[in-house]
Amino acid sequence: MSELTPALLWLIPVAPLLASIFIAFFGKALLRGRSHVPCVTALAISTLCAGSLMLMFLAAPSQLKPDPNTNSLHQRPSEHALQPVLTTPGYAWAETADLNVRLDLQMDAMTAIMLCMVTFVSLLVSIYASGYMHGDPGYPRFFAAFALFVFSMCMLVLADNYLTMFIFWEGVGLCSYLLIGFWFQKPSAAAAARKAFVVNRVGDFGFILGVFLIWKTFGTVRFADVFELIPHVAETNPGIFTTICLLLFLGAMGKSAQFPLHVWLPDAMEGPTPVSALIHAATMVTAGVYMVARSTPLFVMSPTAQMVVSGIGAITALLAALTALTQYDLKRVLAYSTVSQLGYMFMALGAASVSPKLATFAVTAAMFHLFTHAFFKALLFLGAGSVMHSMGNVIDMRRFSGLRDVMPHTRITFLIGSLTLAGCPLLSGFWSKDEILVALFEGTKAGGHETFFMVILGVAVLTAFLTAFYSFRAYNMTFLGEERFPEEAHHPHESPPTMTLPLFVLAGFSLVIGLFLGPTGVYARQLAQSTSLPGHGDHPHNILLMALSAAIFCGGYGLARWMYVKSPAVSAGLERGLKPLHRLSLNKFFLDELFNYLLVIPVKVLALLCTLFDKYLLDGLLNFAGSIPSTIGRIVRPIQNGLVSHYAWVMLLGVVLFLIQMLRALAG
Amino acid sequence: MLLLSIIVLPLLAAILLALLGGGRAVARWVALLTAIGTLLVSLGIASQLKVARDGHRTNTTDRPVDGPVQPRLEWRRTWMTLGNIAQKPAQLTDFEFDADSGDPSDVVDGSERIRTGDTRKALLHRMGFVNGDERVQLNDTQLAELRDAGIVRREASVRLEFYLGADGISVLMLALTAILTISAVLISWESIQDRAAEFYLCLLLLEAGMLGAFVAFDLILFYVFFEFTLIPLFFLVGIWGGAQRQFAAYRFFIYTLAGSVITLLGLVALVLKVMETGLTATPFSIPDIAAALKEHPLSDQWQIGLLLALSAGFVIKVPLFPFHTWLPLAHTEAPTAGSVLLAGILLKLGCYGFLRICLPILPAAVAGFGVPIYATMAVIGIVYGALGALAQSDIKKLVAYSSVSHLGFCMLGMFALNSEGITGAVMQMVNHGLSTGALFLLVGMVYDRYHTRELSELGGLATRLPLLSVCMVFICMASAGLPGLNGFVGELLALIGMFKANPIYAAIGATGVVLGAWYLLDMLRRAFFGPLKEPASVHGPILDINMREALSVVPLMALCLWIGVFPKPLLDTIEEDVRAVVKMYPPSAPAKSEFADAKQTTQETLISVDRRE
Repeated sequence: MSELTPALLWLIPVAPLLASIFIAFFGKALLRGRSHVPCVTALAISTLCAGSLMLMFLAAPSQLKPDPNTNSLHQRPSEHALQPVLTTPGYAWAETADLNVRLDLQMDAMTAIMLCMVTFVSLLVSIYASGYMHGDPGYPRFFAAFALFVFSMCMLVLADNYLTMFIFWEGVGLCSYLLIGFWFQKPSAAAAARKAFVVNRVGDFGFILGVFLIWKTFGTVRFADVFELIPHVAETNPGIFTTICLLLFLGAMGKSAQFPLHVWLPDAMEGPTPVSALIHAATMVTAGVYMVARSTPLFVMSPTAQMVVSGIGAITALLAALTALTQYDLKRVLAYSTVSQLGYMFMALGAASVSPKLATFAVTAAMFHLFTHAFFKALLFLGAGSVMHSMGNVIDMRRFSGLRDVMPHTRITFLIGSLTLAGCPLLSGFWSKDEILVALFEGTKAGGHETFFMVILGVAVLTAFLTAFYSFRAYNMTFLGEERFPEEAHHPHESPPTMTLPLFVLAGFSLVIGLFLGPTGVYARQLAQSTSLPGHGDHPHNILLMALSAAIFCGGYGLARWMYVKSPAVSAGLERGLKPLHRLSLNKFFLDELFNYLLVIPVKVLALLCTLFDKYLLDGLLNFAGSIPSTIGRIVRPIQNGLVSHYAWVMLLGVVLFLIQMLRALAG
Repeated sequence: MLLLSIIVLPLLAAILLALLGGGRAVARWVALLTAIGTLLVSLGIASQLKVARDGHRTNTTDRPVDGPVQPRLEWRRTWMTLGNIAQKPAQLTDFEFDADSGDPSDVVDGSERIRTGDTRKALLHRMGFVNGDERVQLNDTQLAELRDAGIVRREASVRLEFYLGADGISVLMLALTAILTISAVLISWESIQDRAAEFYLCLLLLEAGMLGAFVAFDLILFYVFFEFTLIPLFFLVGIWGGAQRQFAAYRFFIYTLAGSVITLLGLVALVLKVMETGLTATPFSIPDIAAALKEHPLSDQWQIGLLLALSAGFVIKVPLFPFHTWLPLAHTEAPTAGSVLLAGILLKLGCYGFLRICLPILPAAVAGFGVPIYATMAVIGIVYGALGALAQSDIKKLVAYSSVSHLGFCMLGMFALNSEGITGAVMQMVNHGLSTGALFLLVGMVYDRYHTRELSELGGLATRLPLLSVCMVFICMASAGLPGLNGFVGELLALIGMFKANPIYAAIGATGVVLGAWYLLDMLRRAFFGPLKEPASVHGPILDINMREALSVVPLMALCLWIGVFPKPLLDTIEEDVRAVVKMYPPSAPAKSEFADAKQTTQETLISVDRRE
């Protein structure tokens, strides 16, 4: 088995890459309507490889003990002696005097979990997309970019150093750009794609500077080496950790859409719905959470940075949930919900600052929520896509309602997704959300920042309530009420099996995965094997908090039912009554406008000033310098006017002067 | 021999074209074949270099092998010798008293205070070398003693050489020049109708000049080639350019010439200064000067003065802010081939000049005086160029401003003065050549089809020209520094090098990466995405990229990808030669203190000579 593992590990990213290249070159000429075949096949291979490696990890970590004959498994010498890391050599990417970057793969428990989730969800989404994108002229292009995304995402989580991680971090950004702008004829899609890339670049600016600082401080960018050197650096330069962590977190804010860099994600819904489901809900946007979780040893060194992480997470979660309350675009509701849930994960990550003992639990809570969220959010997005497919690409919830009879499959799966997102007891979202609440609750008891975490916990509870409310608002507005269709929907119908099958699979996972992995502690034990985590992640559940979150769920559900099903007049009345607040929420707190006036316009003005500076000042100076010779020429030109009499006079003058001088000399 | 032939080949072809003339068909084929030939020769040089790297250095001089500039291949021929000290008995007339290199203040000699020059005369007198105005025979030991003491210098005994060479840095630039020339010929294939023979003549002359500058290891030769490139480009812009072509041609010619003249003054001063010290018999040879001055550095003031003079031409050529205003104009007016070569190669001559001449020869001035000035200019250039690009509505002008920004990264890396930074700078030179060259090619293709480059008149071209748009997106990503493509490697190394030296500069420089994505993607969005919009004046079918155009741009794209994914071979080639330069700048002890030590040693020797009386 151990001889096979490097091949399996490489196969996970390489299979989608090959598929992508193949589709890119032959898709248009050869494959056309069958372009999904290589992609789906490759993803199935990746899923199988990831799954089998995961099973190896699950079976018994002790079986993966280092084999003295091969280097494929190696053991970390520090306190995590029992935690196996699977590394596979690749090639040296760049070597200079002090910078050595190798493209090697590394797999530990955290990577394995991410890989399983990424490959499995993308497999389902690709099957769904083969139905959803059917007949689109850009069909091959879609699957080429899709497979390339899976490749980049796998490499991102398989990276064994910060620089490789950054490389593929931007790689997934590129795929996101290409897929958001998939329908490039639509100006809004083109603009959203550019916005996503540029806003992400702002985050990446911080990330790369963080990597530079890590390199300068530690002399290496490999995770294992960096984490090992932390005690040394902590002695000589403890202040540096806050800077490093904040810079890294800026990167995470960009990719994981945290306030104020979250503005790109709702716009990214311009892309095809499968893309929204996979990239902008399930996988890519969680890369920031993964990166911060991966860097836990660094973040543990800086409570300040972790409080910032928590704080930003809380602001984002609340703000996004408030915005989601009033959106009419179903996909946008889900997008804001994604932003909000990502904020939730960051809140938990920040709680690692409470105590080293709690650090692993807090990170586990975040990673667990990431895991469950991937399933139920992909499910919700695919459900929304199914609605859109049927409604002739209309997604405004005001224009249709009562779809429960037309789309029974979509309805039942969407309902499961909503229940999970809202935190219905026993479903997966409930368990992972509960863990986060427990982690935050621990923060209110100890760690020296009790008040801070009190506020954070309050925000988390409020957000949970809002989440329950808006999930059912969306469900109720779409599937309940009187049956209405927009005129674009020529024949409303249930989606084909290629689309509903993934929905059912995802719904199944959303239902049970939390119960199987959460309270049993399987997930936590598995994740604790990761090299990035100190200690164990087990923590008893808190019955009180569980009851609280169950109550919150019921409250949110009941309110939504009352307002949108029982007496719809209430919601309309409330809308009128709280007009300013409603407008604030509907317009996303005017953040886009704020960005425009505070950032975009000033930069554009500055750019204009630069060209004016060039044109008038620099060129003016240049023209002035250039005019000097001709000016001198103009001044002396009259002397040479070509009149012989003039010259004769001057000559005479010269002769006279000469004579005078000579006479004076003779006299002297 | 290959080194010589790489210059002679395009020159011969140019002469052939000039003599025979010939029609468009003949001329472009001659040009294409010549360009391919030079590419092959440059690859030959590269393979020879690889052999030479494995221990067979063709070192034709007794120069120490650890000098800061070390061509691994050499081809040198002396064509004139002025004065020859070796065959004559040493007489005092062969020496002059050195009044400059010593301490300018008066020297106390016993009780009497005498002017420096006189001190030495008196000193020699007392040492018994001189009796009044008599000529005295000196033996070799005495001669060496005096020279070591810095008292005498050898009278001008100078070999003028034709000195060509190649190392890892120059060989990359040679290959890049050859590749871009092929692209330039291909892109001009149809679009140049008038006076085609003359056009290709100029193109080949330009290539010869650029190749010459990269293989020249002789100061004068370098300068000659450096300047020579202006002439064919002047004609390319002035004859085959756009509406304002003559104004643009004159402006760029005179502007860059004005800078170069100051560089020439600096070169002359440098050579005279080296001749004064008598440290080397070949004061025009860059490696020999560098090796000699490494042991006996010039004084601080001289170094700073020389740096300012030498860099005058280079900063304009690069161009560093605020000397960049000639560039956008020259680019917009130049024909596509001219733009490609101007951006791809000619601008690099400025960076190359810094790397070849300023960094190895004037370490004290560069480290102490140069870094704050040039690095600041580079950082401003990065941001300013990007902002400038953001405000443009002409695609070509946008790309021109992006050049200012990208070359800022080159200079930023270079003035990090460490291995990462300088390697990154050279890498960025290559990368910018590839990606901006390709951008100009693509913009040229759009212009050939629509006769406009205004963003406001174009839109949604991806619908009409899908393949061209794919190329455009690819190259824009390379140019914006997307990892996995070439731009990232250079920018990363330049920034990381600068971060090591000074994080503030690097942080400001890194904002250029954000802005870079902004202006390039904005251009893509406006011209290529959205609903199709074409200028009303266009008639006839608009076809997607054809085979000839693809041949001109696809190899560049392939190289971009290859460098991005496997940068190591190239980095290794560069770094080996960069390391020699970096040795001049030890991180702990700046070069300045080294210089102070050296000066002190000289004085001590002088005192010991003094005491011997």
